[in-house]
Amino acid sequence: MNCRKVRPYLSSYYEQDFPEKEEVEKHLKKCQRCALEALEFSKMGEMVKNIKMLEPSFDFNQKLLVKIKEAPYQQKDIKELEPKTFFPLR
Amino acid sequence: MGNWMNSQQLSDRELMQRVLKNDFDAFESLVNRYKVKLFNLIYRMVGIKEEAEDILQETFLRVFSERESYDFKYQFSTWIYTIALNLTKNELKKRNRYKFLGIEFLPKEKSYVEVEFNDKERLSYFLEKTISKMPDKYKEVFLLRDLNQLSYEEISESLGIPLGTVKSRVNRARLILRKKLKPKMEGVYELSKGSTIPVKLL
Repeated sequence: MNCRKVRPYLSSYYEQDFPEKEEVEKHLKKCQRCALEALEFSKMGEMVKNIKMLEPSFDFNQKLLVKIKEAPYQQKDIKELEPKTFFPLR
Repeated sequence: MGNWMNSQQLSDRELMQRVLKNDFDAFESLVNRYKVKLFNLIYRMVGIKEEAEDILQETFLRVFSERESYDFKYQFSTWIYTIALNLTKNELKKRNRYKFLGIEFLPKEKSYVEVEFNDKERLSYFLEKTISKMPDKYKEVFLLRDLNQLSYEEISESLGIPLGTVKSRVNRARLILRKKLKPKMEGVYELSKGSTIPVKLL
């Protein structure tokens, strides 16, 4: 593989799972520029993984459970959640 | 207590079996398992905490009210993400309509208070800001993959879009982020030409 072919794989190089990894690896061992780029993506991935996770309010569960238990929660119209099925017209 | 310990070890599907029998402890275990991940995803999509929490609440209300319609063939995670993402998108669509009518829904960006940031803090502030400015279609797949750590397959199922589309959007999002972030990263991570690449990466 050359730089051009390797390029699309660099952003996902740090992920464990992809079939072309071995070939990309071969290229990175001899090409410093692509290796550096892969490293940048990996650092970025790490940063995103370490983004500070925010917590919902401390009484979130309480409020939710009260809402569910108090009013018997009505079946809502959730058409947008249903899988779209198309019946061909005859 | 025994019950609580027990439900911690159960799989999502096992918990849902109990929820079907109106077991509120099992339901709360599912809430605890998903609320932080979903909250962070929704918040980064809509940008307002109170609104994110409303959508999060609605998500769980729907899980409960629609419990009978959950298909055990599919992963629970995919189902709950689909619900949360649909509700989030509806909210964003609603906003766009308001915007069209000239009504601004989002609070104006507050004047930024200068505080002492070290390099890494400044970088993560910039990271959050860059993510928030990404177009929605890239932002959602990017957050699902890199923040929530869903597999590409799970993302494809949750959003109902082809696997190839998910992969190319994630790639595109990472390219956008790298382009914006690279100049800021150099000082912090010493990604200059002379830096050595960790062996484990190669």
